[in-house]
Amino acid sequence: VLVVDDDRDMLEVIRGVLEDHGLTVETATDGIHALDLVDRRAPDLVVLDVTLAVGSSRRVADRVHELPGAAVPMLVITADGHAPDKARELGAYAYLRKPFELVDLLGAVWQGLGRTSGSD
Amino acid sequence: VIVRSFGTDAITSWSRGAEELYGWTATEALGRVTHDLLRTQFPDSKEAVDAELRSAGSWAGELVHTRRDGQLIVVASRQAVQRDAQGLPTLTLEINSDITPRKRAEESLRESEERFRLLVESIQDYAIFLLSPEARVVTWNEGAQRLKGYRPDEIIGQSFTRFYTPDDQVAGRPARLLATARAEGRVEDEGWRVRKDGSRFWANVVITALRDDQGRLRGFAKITRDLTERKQAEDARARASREEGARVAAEAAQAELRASRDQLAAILSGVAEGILVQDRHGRLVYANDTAAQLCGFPDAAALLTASIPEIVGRFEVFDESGAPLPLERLPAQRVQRGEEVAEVLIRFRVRGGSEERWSIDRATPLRDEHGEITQVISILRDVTERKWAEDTARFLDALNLELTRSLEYEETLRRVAELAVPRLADWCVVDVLDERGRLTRLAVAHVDPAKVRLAEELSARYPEDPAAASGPPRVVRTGRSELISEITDAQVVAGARDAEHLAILRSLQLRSMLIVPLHARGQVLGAISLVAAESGRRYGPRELALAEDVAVRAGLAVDNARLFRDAQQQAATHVELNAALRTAMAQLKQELQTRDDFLAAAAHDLKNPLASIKGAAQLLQLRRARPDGLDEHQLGAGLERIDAITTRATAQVDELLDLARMQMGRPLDLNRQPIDLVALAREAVIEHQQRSERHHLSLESQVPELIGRWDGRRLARVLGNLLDNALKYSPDGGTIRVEVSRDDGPPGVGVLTVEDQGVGIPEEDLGRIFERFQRGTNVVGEIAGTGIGLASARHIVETHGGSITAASRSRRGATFTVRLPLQTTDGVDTWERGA
Repeated sequence: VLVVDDDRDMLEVIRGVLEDHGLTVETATDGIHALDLVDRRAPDLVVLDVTLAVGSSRRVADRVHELPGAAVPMLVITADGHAPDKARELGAYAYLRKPFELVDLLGAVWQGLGRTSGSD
Repeated sequence: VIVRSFGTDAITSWSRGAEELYGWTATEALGRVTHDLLRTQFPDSKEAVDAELRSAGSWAGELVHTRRDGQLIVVASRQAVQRDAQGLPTLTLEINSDITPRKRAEESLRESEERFRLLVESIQDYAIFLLSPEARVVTWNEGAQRLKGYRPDEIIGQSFTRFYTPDDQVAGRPARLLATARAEGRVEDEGWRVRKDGSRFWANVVITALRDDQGRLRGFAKITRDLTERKQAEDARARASREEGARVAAEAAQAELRASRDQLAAILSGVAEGILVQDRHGRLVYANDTAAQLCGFPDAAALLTASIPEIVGRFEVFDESGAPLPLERLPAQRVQRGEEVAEVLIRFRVRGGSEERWSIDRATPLRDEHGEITQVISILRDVTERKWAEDTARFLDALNLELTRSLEYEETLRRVAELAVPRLADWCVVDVLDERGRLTRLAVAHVDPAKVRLAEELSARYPEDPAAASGPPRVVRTGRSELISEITDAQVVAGARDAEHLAILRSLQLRSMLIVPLHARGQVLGAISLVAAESGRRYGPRELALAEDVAVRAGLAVDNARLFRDAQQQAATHVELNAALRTAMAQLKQELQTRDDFLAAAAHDLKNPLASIKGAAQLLQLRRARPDGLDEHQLGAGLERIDAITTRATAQVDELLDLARMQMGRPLDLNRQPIDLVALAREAVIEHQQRSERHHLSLESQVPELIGRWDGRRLARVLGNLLDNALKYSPDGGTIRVEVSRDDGPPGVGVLTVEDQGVGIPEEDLGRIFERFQRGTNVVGEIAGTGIGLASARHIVETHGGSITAASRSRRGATFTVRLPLQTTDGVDTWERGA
């Protein structure tokens, strides 16, 4: 799972909960680093913060959709009020508004990966 | 004075005058629709008036209004439209004055003219008709039809020459008579005239030229009387006297005349008209007392014993226009020479200062049986009073017209002074009280401009003493008029300040004067002075009454003008207030919008740390719930993280509060402490280096430490913002150089520069990137940002008394330079000196 957010603390929390549940996590604090990881590591799922300080989330999303093979699901997280619109624009399958419950995040990630929530 | 909203016509202002005129109080009238309340009858239609107000901005005319008591009144109405800043009409000002009495007077004048016309038309013994200036018949009465045989439809429009015999027509008699009438105003003629059927009659004809106020010829009135019978009788008598007993008849007549003369003299002496009889040599043979008094003698006996030069030298005679009239042009003299004379209007005054009198002088010859003139009877009718009444009425009419012409009261009063000269006075002076209660000269009028200048010089050199016991100061002080019928030399001497002043005053020949107070709004506004000098006029109660009347009218006009001005100013103030209010509302709306935006942004920014804290806490809970539980290390790291986020969130809240202060234009409350700029820069560089692997951050410093009294947390924020930007706007990475140096001044300044190798800033944007919400045109839409960071940095630096500047070569990176004074400029700080 690739997690992109310019808030380092948020990245570490998400990494913690996903790794606790047996997932391999890569993180990026800016769009440019994220593009590089998308290309190099071909993630199975991307968690993307809409408002990035450096590099646009749009470009990250486009690059994710351009990946060969089956479509890579993308989960959008954001603190701003236009989450549903942003999620639709970026082609995400779900969105979460900050602050969110970690169990909701886990549920959404399982859903994206095609597993049943709480099967672990 | 009524003010009403344009369009709805709802009354917004209703003056005291309106209450008195209409009987409605302001409370009752306000908010009502003007034309409903007053049941206005418009000359044409309300729409026509509104249309003119909208297009021309003003309207004037007469309206019929209904008062509260139901009485109809006619008002002269002047209306003007006020417009707002956009030029849209907002209010209509309406000033109405009651002209009902004048309208009634006009009505009765029209009625009396109508009666007179009917009278003329029905007169049967005289042919009375009017001719156009080209001598064509315009009207035709009963008498004319009877006398000359033409019906109106046969004669109107025809030339009047057809009434004359062919001989007279050839000789040009009709034209000659008209020429005389045109030149002298009136001509009388006797001779044969011709009827429609060709028969002749002996006619007495009087033709009078009709002129309008401006002296233009409007036509002629012609009165013709049939004297055929008298002519035949005279002819018969002449024949009889030639044939026989002429002398006997004449002597009988003479005797009869002598017998009745004493009786006649007794009657004539008491007659109001002056009667003078001269013999064929011009000697005065009879005068009645009235005539003697007119000529300046106590009674008839005194006049009859005086010599001719004595009588002639006693008075001066003028014609109607005021030009000297030679005695040989008086009717009696002209009759002696055999001329036919009509009445002559003359003005005369007894030498040595009495007032001027007007008289109609008519002379009639007495002839003997041979037709020789034996005596000339002159009848002098004193028309001074009538003339005065006419002149006064004309003057007041002219005055009323002038008073409505201007709404500037200074101008109005100047026109009053000009009108008074020379009709009422040789000099007219208007003084008014200024706002400080001092009497100032507003207008001086005299027919001779040189004299006006002289008067202005005089009043500048010898200003009026406000405490003077007479003159304008006293009249203004007491509010009572002053009349000096006869100015004595002693009074002139008393009024003079020095010998030169006296000489000038004497040269002015001041004869008589009167001063009346000018009231407006129940207060004395000033005084009008009328002075008689070279004209020899003397003022009495009659002139005083007239002058007071003039002052009342002028005062009313001043009141009106001031009310109008006040109303206009009030309306203008309303418009200004409205505009100011609208601007304030727009600003307020803008500020509220800014605050809303700010709150939304603040909430968004705070949600990120809250989300992280919540996430960190939940992660701890989730781990505690697992079978293997939570280890000490994880617990410590989690709590540390929560603590660190909270610290950063607090800094963020501080920053938001500073931003709020900046947006509301309030200064920052600096928490100055000794701060080492080098250490501060080092911490910032280390922290930001951790955020990026693509960038290399370096710090260079010429000095090991650079200490000033600054607000450390805020300077850290400045550095943080500059480094955030350096990272953000060099997306491809590169070196970011931070340099700290000391500029020893004076004054001593700490200098901090941050240089990157990023996208740079276009030169044209350098001037505005420190403004709120302004960003480089090359990054908008490319790299996210709010346009607040640099504005906030500048706010902090400038509050410290420093400056921040940017330099850039586009696409080759940007350099920001911050200069901070080491010493505070407010003088409070002594730390540097003490150290």
